[in-house]
Amino acid sequence: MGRGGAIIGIGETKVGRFPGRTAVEMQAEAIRLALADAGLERSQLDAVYGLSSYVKPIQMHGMSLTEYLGIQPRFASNFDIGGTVAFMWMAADAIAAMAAGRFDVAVCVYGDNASTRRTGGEHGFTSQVEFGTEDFEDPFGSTLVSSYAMVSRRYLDLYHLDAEATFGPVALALRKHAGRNENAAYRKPITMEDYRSSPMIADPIRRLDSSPVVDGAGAFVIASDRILATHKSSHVPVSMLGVNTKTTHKIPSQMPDITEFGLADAGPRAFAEAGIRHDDVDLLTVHDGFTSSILLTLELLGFVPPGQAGRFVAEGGIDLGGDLPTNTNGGLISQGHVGGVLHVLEAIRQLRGEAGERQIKDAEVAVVAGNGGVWAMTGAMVLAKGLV
Amino acid sequence: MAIAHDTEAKELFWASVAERAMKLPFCTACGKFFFYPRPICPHCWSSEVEFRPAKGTGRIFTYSVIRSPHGNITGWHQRIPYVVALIDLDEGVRMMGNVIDCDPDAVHSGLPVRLTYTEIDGRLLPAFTLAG
Repeated sequence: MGRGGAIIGIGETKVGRFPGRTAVEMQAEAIRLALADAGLERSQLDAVYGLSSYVKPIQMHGMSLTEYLGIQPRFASNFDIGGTVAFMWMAADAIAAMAAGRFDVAVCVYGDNASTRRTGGEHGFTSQVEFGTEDFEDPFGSTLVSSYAMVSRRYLDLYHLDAEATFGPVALALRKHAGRNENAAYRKPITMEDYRSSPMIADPIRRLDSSPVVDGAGAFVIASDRILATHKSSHVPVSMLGVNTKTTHKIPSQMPDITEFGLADAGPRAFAEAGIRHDDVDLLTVHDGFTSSILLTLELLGFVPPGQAGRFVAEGGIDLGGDLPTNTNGGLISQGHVGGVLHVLEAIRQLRGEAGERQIKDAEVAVVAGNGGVWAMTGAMVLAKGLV
Repeated sequence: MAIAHDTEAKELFWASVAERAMKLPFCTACGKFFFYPRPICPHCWSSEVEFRPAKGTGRIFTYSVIRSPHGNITGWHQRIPYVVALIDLDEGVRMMGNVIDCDPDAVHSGLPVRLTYTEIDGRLLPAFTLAG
């Protein structure tokens, strides 16, 4: 107790393709599910931290969402950071506000109809507003995928690695995880042969290295210490022990070298705030837009020496029962891309001991790692089981 | 000699490209080039920014070969497979650009390149060829 608040509810909609549903509608559903899971009433909700759709953004999204839900909270806004990092600052801000006594119940939410609403023939999160790449990147036929491909290429070049042997096992491991998640869009097991025959989109990124966007939403509820003091629930609360992030650039040509991505700086700060060491961590969730994101995160956070994460994954390191089970929900790559919010929910679910057949035994500490834009704003958040 | 505004900074850059004589923004206050063009130096926040001719030499930092159509690649569709790369210019700045007029499989990180120009959708763009 004493941190300000803790996470006491989660809500996750089905992921897939749902023509006709809007992003606001799906976010509203996730909030309803999360509040019910928390055992709280809608009248108690007094802060809504939303993240607007990326395929069809709404200005002042938070107010659209709360109006849609017929509620009048004190606070409603849009945390447009992306890459799972948004949820770190939503949670940090909410808990700080609770410590100051500004409000008692907050929900953090994201959802999008990225699959059904994206424009024809497009891959990925193609926003319908400017991104910043219009003047000096788009004219060269550069895309979000090719920019991540340059990151993947740099990783291979820096450590003299083979693309298939390095990235293939990541795709296989995530698909294996998704097989244990009923709410994953891609559950059929794949082999290295499947990986090798997967179409090359932007070399070295194949289709199976990529995270397919899906429609869906997720939300988590934070309650103040005041509420927690009397709150009865069958779920174990989850505490946030530390968070830190760093912004290094926006458009891909301005990014630092991969060893200097912000996570190398933010990660140790988050660990220090939380007072944890690497061997305290029972699971990791990573914003895995592409397979290289998982390898880079394992190395930038210091779990694996530079250049060795591919081997770590190939040897079962991120599997259930491995040294550091990672993205046990299948990740963006096999569960489907819902902006990373489901990564936060998976970490909470594991810490509550409610992950079913994919439960990590005695999971007590989870690290959620993110990267918004193309490694533009990165960060890590440390979550722990119970009120600590 | 300050640049009037952001729009002018972009126009001056693209005008130099249209003349096949690419210029880069240079800060006379701190003596450094930077990219992309803007009327404020990102190194020292000075407004003493001017354009100076690019030497036209550099190296490939990293790259990707686009092999399937995706995203908004407009006129590049017709050139698949094509190479998009991050080029480290000898002026100490990095920019996005294409490596053209070569087998994509001949492209590797670290190779020296030379500035050239190519037309896409009726617009002249800076591009690079393998040097040596």
